[in-house]
Amino acid sequence: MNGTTIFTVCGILLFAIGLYGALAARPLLRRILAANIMGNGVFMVLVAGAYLPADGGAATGDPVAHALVLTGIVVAVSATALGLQLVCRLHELASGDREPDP
Amino acid sequence: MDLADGNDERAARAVRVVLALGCGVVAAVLGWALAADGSSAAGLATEVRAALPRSGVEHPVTAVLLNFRAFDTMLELAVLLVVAIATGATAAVGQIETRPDEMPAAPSSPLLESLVHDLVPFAILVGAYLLWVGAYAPGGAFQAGAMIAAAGVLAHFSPRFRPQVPDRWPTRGILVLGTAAFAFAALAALALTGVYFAYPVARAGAWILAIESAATASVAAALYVTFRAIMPADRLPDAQR
Amino acid sequence: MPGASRTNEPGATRVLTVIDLLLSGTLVAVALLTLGARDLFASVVLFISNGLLLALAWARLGAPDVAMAEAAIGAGITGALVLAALRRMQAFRGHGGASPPASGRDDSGSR
Repeated sequence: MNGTTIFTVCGILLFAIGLYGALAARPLLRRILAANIMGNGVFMVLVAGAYLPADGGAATGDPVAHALVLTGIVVAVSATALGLQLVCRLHELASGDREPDP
Repeated sequence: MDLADGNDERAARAVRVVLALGCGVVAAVLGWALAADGSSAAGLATEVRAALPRSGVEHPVTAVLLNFRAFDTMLELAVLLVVAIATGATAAVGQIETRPDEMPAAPSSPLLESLVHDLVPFAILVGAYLLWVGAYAPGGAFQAGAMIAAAGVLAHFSPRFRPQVPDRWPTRGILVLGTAAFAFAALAALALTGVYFAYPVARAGAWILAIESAATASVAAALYVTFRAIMPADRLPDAQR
Repeated sequence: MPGASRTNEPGATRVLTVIDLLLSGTLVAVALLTLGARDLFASVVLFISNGLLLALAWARLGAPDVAMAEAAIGAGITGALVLAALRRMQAFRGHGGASPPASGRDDSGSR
């Protein structure tokens, strides 16, 4: 069992755990965290698949896959930020506290 | 799930068990699909290494992000811009833009003040270094932009050094700068070489550095504006309201 | 990251395999704890830890760019945003006053 197999399995497990959390968790915030964990699982499978063993230097990987994952991380934080803002506004409107005191 | 009323507890638990089993099935299917991949292709690493001298930088990931797949990076910056606008538009009144005379006296410790005073310039310097070194070693625009945004988040918690975010054209200009730099580079490359995003090979390094600087400023501004839109405004203590 | 000259010995390979197993196991365990934590503040702190461990995994998989971006954006900025949202909703549910102190917290999560 080499490293890429271990991390591929870990990525699949993270995806499954995140999927369950995104569907079954009660607080909305925890669902957002679970969606992020799903994304982390996907990234791990991608990077583990792009692994190139060391030949003369340090271990490296397919640069296109790394660039994809980098883009994915930034898009994930953008989506998380939008989701968090919507959850906060939902909470504020539901609890009747429309505007915080400046 | 909203099923957990008092007398529906067992139904909710059953649904959760079914969901867990379903996620287990998904994991098993994924494992089977990824284990059946016997022929491991080498990916695009050799092609990227072969085309690296023409890209203008020496680090393959930076070359892929800023030159070979520049369109994807431009769209990524556009996503950041859209989210900064969206979160800023749905923020409550007074959350992002607080006039200095209206800023309440948030409790702040001398330790925090000295930490911010010493750490923020260092963080900005490290961010600038990451931007510069991205052409030769791991680094680049997004890491640098995140570093500078983190410096802004750190500075937010000291009322003396809190960055002002006025909703006027300098703020909007910096937010748009990254996407605009990419779009401008694409059109300029079209005019010069006839192909979108095909930078002239002789000056590609300088082009990439200029685009990366704009992208760093844009990423840092977008992330900090998003943080300000979510972070609640300081409240005066109840005794002083 | 290990140098190439030292990974040709079978002992070194076994140590690295153990490190990979420990890292993956901790990642999965922290993910489970994140979703099963009692209150939301614990969930968020565990999520930030997950992000930092993930940065270690990227370093182990030979992806230094991704590791830097994950530590800065995935753990740092996302952590700051989620903590800001928690603060705004004042949703510190917990047993026995698990809520953090009233003043703000910085990006390093030192509180």
